Amino acid sequence: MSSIAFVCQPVSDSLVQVTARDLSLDSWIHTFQFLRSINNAANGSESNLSGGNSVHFPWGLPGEVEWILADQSISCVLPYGWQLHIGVVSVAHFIQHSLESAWRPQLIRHISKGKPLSRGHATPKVHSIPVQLGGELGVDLPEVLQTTGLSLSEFSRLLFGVELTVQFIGFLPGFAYLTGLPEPLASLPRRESPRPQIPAQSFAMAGGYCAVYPLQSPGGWNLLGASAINPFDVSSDPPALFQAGDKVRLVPMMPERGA
Amino acid sequence: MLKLIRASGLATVQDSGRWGYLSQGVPVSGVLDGLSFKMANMALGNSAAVACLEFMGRFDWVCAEPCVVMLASRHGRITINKREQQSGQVIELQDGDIMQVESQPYAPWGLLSMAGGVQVPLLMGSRSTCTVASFGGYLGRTLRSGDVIRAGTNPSVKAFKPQQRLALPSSVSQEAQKVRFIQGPDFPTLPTQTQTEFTQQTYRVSSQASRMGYRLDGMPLEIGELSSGPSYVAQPGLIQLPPSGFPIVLLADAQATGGYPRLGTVIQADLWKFAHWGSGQALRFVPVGFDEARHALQEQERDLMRLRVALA
Repeated sequence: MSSIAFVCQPVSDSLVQVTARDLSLDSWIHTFQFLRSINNAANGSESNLSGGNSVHFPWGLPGEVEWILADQSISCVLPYGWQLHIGVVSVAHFIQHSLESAWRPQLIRHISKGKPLSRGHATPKVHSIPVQLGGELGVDLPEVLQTTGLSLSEFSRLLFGVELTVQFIGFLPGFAYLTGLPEPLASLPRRESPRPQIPAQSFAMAGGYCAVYPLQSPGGWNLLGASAINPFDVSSDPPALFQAGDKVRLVPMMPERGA
Repeated sequence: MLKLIRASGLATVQDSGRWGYLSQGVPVSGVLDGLSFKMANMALGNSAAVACLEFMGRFDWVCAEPCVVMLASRHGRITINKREQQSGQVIELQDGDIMQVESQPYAPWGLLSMAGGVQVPLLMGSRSTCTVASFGGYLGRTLRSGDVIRAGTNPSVKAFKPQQRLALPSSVSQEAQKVRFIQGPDFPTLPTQTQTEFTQQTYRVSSQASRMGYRLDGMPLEIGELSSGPSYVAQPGLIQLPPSGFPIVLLADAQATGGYPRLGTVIQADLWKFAHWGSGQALRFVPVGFDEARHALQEQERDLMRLRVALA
């Protein structure tokens, strides 16, 4: 585990990508929290993550970088002034150095000796999300039960019995990729041909993920039901209901009487 | 104040983009031609944070309250009461004036800037329209006949005088235009033939071109074994290679994540040019390093500074 090697690579003249081999989702989420604290520290608020040795960007420039957690990578988007006056290569070097000197030792101690990370690591938010299987929006449920060989009650027991994690947000505003599905749900492939229009609030599953569609959109996932939540709300801050690293429990929602 | 009396095409309110929300899955949005947009704002005495109208097609307006406007895209057409005007010209409109603006097929995206900026509410740090989620800009949608656009207040006096003309940039040409790009992390893993063919062939902008991205026509590239990897953060300018073998250049409205192999990313200093390229425009991709990309941006910034100094 001491072999964790972060690679910080400029992908364009305004984006740095951090990758690492075989890092668990939990470690990615912790690393994401560490990197975001660099940004905050640069803007005045002190970071607690590295036990007093808070990490600041060394350039007193206005603007803020944005950190984004994707699938097994973290990206950092530079504001215009940083592109111009610092350059993406220097920023990548600084991130690489910060990860190696301030973060890697902590993460290795945490993984191998079970030592807690320094305070400041917020406990993840836990969401309880009602999902109604089948029905008008769950047109693929019968087929999925057939291919998995599960009865509806077995399927429900598996789906509603696990804690899922928001791995990342993408595809659409507020679209959260929920991971942690048990087999055989995790092995469910995408549909062969995508549908041109999937209604908002559809609950869908494919490729090891499940999600609630925030908006009407095309999509190739299996439609299993509906959830009466709004995963993207412009008037909320932040606007996405789910944030990377959040935990999600799906709870069965009974169909309305007479429906 | 301008009232739209005839809309034929697609027009939205855009600014320099909604930065900082990729982590929420929100596209950056913003004008495609950020360079002309910046120059027009300087010439009109606007702050960099104001919004303008971006349009493709023809739009007829009636002035309902005096205001100052500029066609901020080099190749569009503008007439006031049927009299031809020039792009980059500072135009004072009076009550009842009829203004017609039209973009050209060979330079499809027009910009109309107003002194004081187009006044719409600031949402998540931007006035741009997020088309996919229908928020921001003018009621979260494209403009329709009957819509009324108001200008914000304009405190600056350091601006062009009416009838003065700003020389706007252009990238329209019969010849293949060079697009400088930085090779993406997946580039070395693509078949060798694909790597050489991508920079050796001349591409043409296809008819599948929107604010989300331009698909390019050419000889299809061999994609190899890597057809789709883990989802990564996608940004405007990213050149993806989908299984079809025809590259796609992502633009302002692109979704926040992608999975296709990344050929590379167009350098920031060249990205504005896509607004000037219609279907059929010939392009060639030229790989550059990080230093050259940064120097190109610094050079562009120096030109902007000169304009700022000239106005002071």
